[in-house]
Amino acid sequence: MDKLRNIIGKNQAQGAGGAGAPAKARDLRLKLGVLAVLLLLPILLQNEPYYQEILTFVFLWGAMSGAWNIVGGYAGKFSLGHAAFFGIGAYTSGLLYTKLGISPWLGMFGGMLLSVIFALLIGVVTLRLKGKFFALCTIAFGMLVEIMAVYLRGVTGGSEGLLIPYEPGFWNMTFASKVVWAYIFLALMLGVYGVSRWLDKSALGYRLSALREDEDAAEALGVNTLAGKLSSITISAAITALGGSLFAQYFLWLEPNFCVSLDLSQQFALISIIGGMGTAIGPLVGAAIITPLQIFLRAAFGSAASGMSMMIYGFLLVVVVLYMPKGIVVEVRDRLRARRTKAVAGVVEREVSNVA
Amino acid sequence: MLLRVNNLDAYYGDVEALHEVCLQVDSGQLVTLVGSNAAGKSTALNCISGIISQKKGEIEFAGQRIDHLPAHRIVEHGLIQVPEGRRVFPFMTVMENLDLGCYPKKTRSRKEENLERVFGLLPLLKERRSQMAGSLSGGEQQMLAVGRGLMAEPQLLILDEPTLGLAPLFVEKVFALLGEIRASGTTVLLVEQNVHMALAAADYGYVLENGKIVLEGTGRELLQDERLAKAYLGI
Amino acid sequence: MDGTLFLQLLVSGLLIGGVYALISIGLTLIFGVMRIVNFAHGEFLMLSMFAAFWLFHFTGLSPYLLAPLVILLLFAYGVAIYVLVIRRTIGSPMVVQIFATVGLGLFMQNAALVLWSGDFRTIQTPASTALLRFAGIQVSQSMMIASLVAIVIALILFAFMAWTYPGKAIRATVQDRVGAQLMGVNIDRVFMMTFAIGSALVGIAGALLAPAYPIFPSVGANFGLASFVVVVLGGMGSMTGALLGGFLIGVVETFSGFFIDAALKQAVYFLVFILVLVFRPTGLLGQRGAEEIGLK
Ligand SMILES: Nc1ncnc2c1ncn2[C@@H]1O[C@H](COP(=O)(O)OP(=O)(O)OP(=O)(O)O)[C@@H](O)[C@H]1O
Ligand SMILES: [Mg+2]
Repeated sequence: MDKLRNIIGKNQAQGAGGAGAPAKARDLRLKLGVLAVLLLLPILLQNEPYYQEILTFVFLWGAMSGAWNIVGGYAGKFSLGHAAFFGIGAYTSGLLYTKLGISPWLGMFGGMLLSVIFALLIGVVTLRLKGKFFALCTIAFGMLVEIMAVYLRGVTGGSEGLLIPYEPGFWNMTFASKVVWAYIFLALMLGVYGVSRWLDKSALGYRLSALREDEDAAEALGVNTLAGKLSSITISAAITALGGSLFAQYFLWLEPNFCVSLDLSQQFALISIIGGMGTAIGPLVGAAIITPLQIFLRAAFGSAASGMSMMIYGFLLVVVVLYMPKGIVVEVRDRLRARRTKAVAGVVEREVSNVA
Repeated sequence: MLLRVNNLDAYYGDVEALHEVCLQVDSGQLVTLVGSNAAGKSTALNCISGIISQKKGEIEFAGQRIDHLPAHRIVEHGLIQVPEGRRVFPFMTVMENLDLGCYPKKTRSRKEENLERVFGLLPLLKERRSQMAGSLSGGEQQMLAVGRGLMAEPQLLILDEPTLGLAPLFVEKVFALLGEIRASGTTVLLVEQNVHMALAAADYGYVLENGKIVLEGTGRELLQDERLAKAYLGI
Repeated sequence: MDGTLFLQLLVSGLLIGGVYALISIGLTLIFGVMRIVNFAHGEFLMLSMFAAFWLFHFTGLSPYLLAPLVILLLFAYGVAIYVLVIRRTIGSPMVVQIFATVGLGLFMQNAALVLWSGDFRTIQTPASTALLRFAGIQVSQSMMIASLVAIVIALILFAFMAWTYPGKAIRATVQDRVGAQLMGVNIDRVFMMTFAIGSALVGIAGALLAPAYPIFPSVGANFGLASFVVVVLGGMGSMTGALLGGFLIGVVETFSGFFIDAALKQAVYFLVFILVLVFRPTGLLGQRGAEEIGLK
């Protein structure tokens, strides 16, 4: 058990960071401040549809890569097929609504349920694979879902896409005001953040970090790794599907090429990795950096150079994993901490020399 | 003087594994480095052969500094290590393993002669030449590892615990072989836990403890040293 | 079922399989030696097809004549990418190993889109459409060539690995990195050469496929995925496995396309892929415990 404690101890030490009571209070004040700004922003940007949209997508993609992070970051299982969950959520509620008139408020639970079943299937089948092999296998699962979404043309509309009727109304989960959507996605993002914070402290979170550090050792020490991995992938899949359902009602247009694509899976992963994998805040910071960049670039270069933003994404991803593999958040935090320690040491030194 | 190590420090991360190690090997000698488990013997050898690059201090071989060189360049100077734990290439035949022994370009042209010499010393390898190295017995693998090292015409042959896990009969064989190698003019640096036999065979010996050299002297001197006798010879 | 039809399907499948095998050899070589899955593999293929296209466009020479140039270019590109990216991923945490090449693939595919737009380009030569006929069936000449080249390359690589010093050095590095260094092998060089040779092999594939397929920035995506399937099926790191896997996948694809639905042929081989990964991760011919031989 000692080794397990060792593994976990490391993370705890990182998390706690030796913050004293004043630091904690400062931390809390900072968080409340950020929350207040986030709550105000949608209203402030009410008459700026362009920025409003950027904000909405920051919330959505922040939430989605936060969900990816639960498997990829916390459990260390790098999925490249998460768009499948997103697509399952989007298509399930979207189809239930368009074809059968079932409210998306109900349909989204259907999507989550299907997605969880699918996640359990994938989980049981592939979670014992390691590293690259797991990643490859999830690519294959994602591709299977994409192929089926295109193939079942009669139901999904195939590659021509599925148009969801615009009939505003609460029960239809269709809103004329974009502000509502900004708040919905903000709530989703905060929810994901909450789940991640809970993971930071819960027994499940410890189990995941033990298996992430060294799966074989964790298993040898009696950690039920399969249960840990399955819980993380089902939680992640459910949230991702929920995001998909909400996206369907926001965008009102579903296309396999986008919402079940390998590109989207990669995007979930890379936002989280660039921001800081395995931390609650990392994916949100990642989304706050990447998403506006993407939309600006798209606006700046137009469709003529639609590859520009993805090209920069790819470049960023390479640079970040090679030079700051822990992601921006962790890397910056470590550096600040090092500086603070140095500053403290400097003060002590000066005082010592004064005394002398 | 063939090899001179001066004030060698080595680290694994922040942990110091060697502290100011100094040792010398003169041409034609058999020198042994002994010490208990985890004393840092393998670490010292890996520093010398360039496998470990996180180190401080001077290492001089045949009059040239080699401490900044990567492992493959050091091999070209004729300093050959036979690593711990019979690390032969398991999915290659005995012959292929020996081939790789004379990988350095200088020695490749003399492969046939070297092969003859090795087969002369270790006739068993000739019999097994087309067998997969991984399917040899432990003792045979050790012989192969030594033979492979000899293929490179070493000026200095370094052996890391060549008798580890071998039956007494094979241990005798290994020491007999070392005697022959040395008689043929090759300098040998031997790391051993078999302290008694090693010191008996050695011209000079060093005792390493917790990363520091604590004792040195000729083989005979050390064999008679009381402290050593208590600690290692169980007397 | 009609005998001629069966034969036609079989031969077409084998030829497509030959193409897959050709594309996969470089991938399996790189994995086998370096334990690196190059997720940008398909984009390397795309790049070599574009290289063939532009060389053809400016010189008007036969793509087959230009192949050596494409190979050279890809070799150089392989060296550059090794130095800039791959070297730093060796022995790094899994996230680095996976996402460095994922990012590279994204970058390459979209850089191609920015530079050359998404238009389909084709190399029109008599060779692209030439058909060979025999026994009542017809086969595409360019795919025939690609398949034969795949077999020849596999044989050459096999001989290279078995009988030359560099080949032995590569195998030694795979089996014991430290041991190889102690023999005087410069393992950084081994990795660089392996990556460059692997890229050059993709160059051959690109040059030979360019006359037969449309060329566009995302052309590598499907081929790349197919080559992952082939390599996993054949056994990661195994040359003969890549050949066998290629031919098998080609035949499976053709027959399932014909008997089930052309739109589902990819689904069938992804299913095969998952089954192999789960039930026989070493593939058909992979070495048992191959993962433990190299670095974990
Ligand atoms: N790769 C490594 N990473 C971290 N620590 C290491 C590493 N290799 C060795 N050590 C540590 O360095 C110390 C010296 O190890 P070394 O292998 O040199 O001992 P040794 O004298 O060869 O022991 P033995 O007789 O058991 O082979 C040990 O405490 C060991 O745990
Ligand atoms: Mg040792």
